[in-house]
Amino acid sequence: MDKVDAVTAEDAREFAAELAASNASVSVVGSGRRSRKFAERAVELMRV
Amino acid sequence: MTVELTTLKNGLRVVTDNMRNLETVSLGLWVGTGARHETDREHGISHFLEHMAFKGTRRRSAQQIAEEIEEVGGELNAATSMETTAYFARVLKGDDGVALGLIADILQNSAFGRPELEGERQVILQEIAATRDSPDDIGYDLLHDAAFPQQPVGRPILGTPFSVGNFTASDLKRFLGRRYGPGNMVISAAGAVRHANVVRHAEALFGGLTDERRTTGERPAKYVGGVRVSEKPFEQSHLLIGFPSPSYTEDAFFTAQVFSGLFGGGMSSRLFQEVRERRGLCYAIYSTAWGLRDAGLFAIHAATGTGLMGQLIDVIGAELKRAAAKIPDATELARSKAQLKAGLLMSLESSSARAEQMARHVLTHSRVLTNGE
Repeated sequence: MDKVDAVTAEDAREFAAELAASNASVSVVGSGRRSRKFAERAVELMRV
Repeated sequence: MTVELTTLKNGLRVVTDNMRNLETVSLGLWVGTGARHETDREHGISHFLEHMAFKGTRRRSAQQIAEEIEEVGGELNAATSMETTAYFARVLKGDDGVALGLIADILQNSAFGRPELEGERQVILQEIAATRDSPDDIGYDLLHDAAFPQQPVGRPILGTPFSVGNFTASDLKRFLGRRYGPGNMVISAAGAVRHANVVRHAEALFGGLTDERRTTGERPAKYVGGVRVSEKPFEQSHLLIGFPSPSYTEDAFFTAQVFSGLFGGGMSSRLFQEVRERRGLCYAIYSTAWGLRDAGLFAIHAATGTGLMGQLIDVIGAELKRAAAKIPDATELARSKAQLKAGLLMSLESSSARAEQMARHVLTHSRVLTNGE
């Protein structure tokens, strides 16, 4: 509980920034031949 | 609640929590071994072994095991995860010896008879086949493979039809001997339980186990990232996006949990509100922060029609960028923390969740953490 309470708004923003700066993993299921295009677009759009 | 922890001479740890006013006890044996401890050839063997546990021992048939636990109104089950395997039961107060006796027998005297082995192989092959009909399962398997390619932590726990199709009784016995040492095990019990009784049963039933053949090697997880797709047609398209995230041993794991709550944790979360409520792009969308001992994966999952997939990706990307650029407001942060803490405390009122939590704490930290910690 103490560790949850210790998380600040800036910690949360920094964490989101770290996610957006990293190399995403993406899987797409069920879009037929468009699946790969969607997955590649997602990787690109998740990055800041 | 009263937590007591005893280590037996052979290294087996026994932890109990006497939860007042309960008339039942949840207890079991947790082994610090799971899918990530398998070699390539052993892929899926932890789960196979868990299945075989209930198929008969040198003393009891599968039917006798089922009858014996149900004669006292109890239930017996097991589960395999990436890092642990658990054999657990729930019984009435005073019947903890019955449950532990059965668990001790299935772990030390399993017969692994050929008919039972072949029968359970078919069951698991069908279990694997069922996942191939589930877009969620396919999506998560592909996501883990993209995040941790060619590593045990990136593989499905169930194994593959090829690996499962080749396990023999000798393979199972070898894995059992190598990984199921008492120093790698915890007996955990919560509810109407007396610590001294559980320790007495544990000494009598597991005191003869030794650690001689156990190896502790664990291949570190390394996040890589990438793209995986399945063109198999389904009514909806499933999108899963993953990022490297802290392990559960790091303080930052709690940041990941709090962020996941406010970003995609519930109906008030940003993704739910923006993607579903304002734009109607999907029925369900959520995020999770999954932790292992040395790595983690933050994941976003949503499903929609193929025609809406492009918009869905755009909106998720925009929301992530917004979260990275500006701090969340205080009420949003407080709401996520409240959800996280309430969820934890609510789960701990269940004796089975409490027993599991204590076992995991002891396997990871060699002690039970307080709720404050």
